[in-house]
Amino acid sequence: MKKNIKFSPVQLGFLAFFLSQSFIFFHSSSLILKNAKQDTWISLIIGFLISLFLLKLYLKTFNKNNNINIFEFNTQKFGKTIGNILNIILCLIVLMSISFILNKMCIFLTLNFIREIPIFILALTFLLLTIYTVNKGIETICRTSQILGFIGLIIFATCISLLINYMDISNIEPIFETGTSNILKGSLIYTLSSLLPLFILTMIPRDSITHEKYYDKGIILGYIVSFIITFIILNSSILVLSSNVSIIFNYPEYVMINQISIFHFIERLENIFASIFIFNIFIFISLGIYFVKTFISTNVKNEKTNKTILVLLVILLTLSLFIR
Amino acid sequence: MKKFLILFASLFLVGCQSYKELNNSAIVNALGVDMIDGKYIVSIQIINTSKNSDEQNNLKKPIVYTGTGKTLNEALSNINSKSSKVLYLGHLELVIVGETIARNGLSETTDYFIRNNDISKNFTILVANGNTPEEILNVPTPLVNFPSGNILGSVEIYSSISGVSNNIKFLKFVKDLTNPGIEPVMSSIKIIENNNNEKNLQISSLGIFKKDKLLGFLNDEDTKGYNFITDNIKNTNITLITKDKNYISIAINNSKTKIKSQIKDNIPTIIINLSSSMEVKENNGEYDINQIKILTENKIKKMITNTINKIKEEYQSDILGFGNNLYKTKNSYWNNYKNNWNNNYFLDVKTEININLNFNNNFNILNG
Repeated sequence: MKKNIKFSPVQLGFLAFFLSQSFIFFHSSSLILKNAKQDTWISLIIGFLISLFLLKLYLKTFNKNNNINIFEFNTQKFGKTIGNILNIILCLIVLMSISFILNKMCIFLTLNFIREIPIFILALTFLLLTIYTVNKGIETICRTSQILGFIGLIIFATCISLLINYMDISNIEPIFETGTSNILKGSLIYTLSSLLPLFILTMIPRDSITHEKYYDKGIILGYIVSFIITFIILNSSILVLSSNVSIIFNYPEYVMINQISIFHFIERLENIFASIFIFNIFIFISLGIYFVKTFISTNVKNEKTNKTILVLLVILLTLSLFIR
Repeated sequence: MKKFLILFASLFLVGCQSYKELNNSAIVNALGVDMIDGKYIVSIQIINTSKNSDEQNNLKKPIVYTGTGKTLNEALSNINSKSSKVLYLGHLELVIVGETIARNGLSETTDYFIRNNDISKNFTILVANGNTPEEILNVPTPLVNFPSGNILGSVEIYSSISGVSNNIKFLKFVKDLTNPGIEPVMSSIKIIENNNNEKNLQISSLGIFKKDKLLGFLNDEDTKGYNFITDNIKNTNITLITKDKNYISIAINNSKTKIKSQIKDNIPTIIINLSSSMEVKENNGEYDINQIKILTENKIKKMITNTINKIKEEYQSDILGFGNNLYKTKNSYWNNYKNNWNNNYFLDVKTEININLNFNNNFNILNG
């Protein structure tokens, strides 16, 4: 990463916000609900406290005064060979995560909107957009995340406020019925799926932020906002649908918003609400590809990195078609 | 590179690959499901978008197609072969299930609607009482161009004004089907004929289910009682008879019911606290306000007690959600007695009814 790139801690916060939500809605939310049922709120709080502790621990110990990205850190710490092997493994993990979540998103889109379009075409279209953003640089990704973040928050606030009328607080009773192990399972799923994607941020050195001292605060604040939104959405689906109905559906949040009907005129708001999920995936994939691109540009010192991205695209597509 | 990307993208981003022209789509507004000889009979009512129909004629015949099949999907596909347009289920607002299929069990039908992503899960579900869904969907309606709109309007208005029906949405039905300690209900619909043999649709009382099977129908009075207990009543009217056989008409407004449970000697007691405002609409008797209030309270209490007794004795199906209340508030008791709840322990539940009526008239002439 070029050292002269600067962006604000708020933008970093938005990146953390999107990354920690990227795996929740297309993958983990139904798993958390299936395990913790009406005790999801307890599960999420426990999961959040564990993740916050781990996040603070990481920021305090490993990332202090490191004005280098993870790839440079690995090669400095473990030597060029082992360091690069580690870097390649990291890139592969990121690529696999991208293909996994891309596949999940394409299945969602195919099931609910564009049934006849093959997943391959959908994935390709989406990736072309992300590659375009990535080519514009990290600053563009940050600005995009900031804009999408505000749009997402407005959509979220509107939909949830319209849903209040449909909520039944007695749906979270009885408390602790699902058992401690199931609650902890839910917490673990939340911790893993919200915390692990934040790892991608290690490609951003501390001195890339305009106010370096706010690096930690930006990430933590983004993570807290992400938790609040996840907490409200998952619990709303229990309050509106009840836990037993929520676990029937793969996308309970989508079905929950379907209940909104304003004067029999404004309906099907779930389609607008779903855009929040798409925003999450868009930022996650953009950052993921940028992560790989950063690795390639630090190692391959030629001007043809764009071509390598195109090769990456083909690999991603192939992976996303086969991992199910 | 950019040019290459744009060229490459233009191959795929031609847009709207799975587009559907509105002119080629048949918008399904209502769907009826029934079963004869193990085969599904599916009837669909389509919104007439053509302007060629006789607009002067108020009683437009609705466009209804019917298909049969071993599965619901097969039946719908068979309809597609009869219709020149592609069926679009995204605007489905009403589903009517036949009495036969409802008595055999609705689990497969429910499963179909849950799995089908084209269908919005926010539709109203009704059970046909004495007629087939196809017959009901074929009845022309004078006030609204398509009968499903008429039915939906009736359900909504009837449940908010009279309290004798309930606008049960599909997910509410699924919720009651899957939640412990509660059984689902569904409003019913039937065809009535006037003296000139003209058919009309009437929203009728509630159908009682046990799991996914229809057991029978409550009468209007019991439906009111059910709605009082489950806090589904907004406004209703009650007619009282005095000792001199005169009638007093009472309007009940803004009724609110809260249910609590207690366990005494291992027997649960459900405490029903009902508060509401009342208005005297007609007073043909010689009773004063206090007497009317007591009469009304007694009438509501009797209505609720009769409903509970009838449900316990005739149906043994906890549609009132007493078990669900115990599951939520007295979970340890529920875990011990949840097996065989409907046929055994539900029958032993004691009830305590407290009614608090506020008199709401803004004048004070005669006696009430």
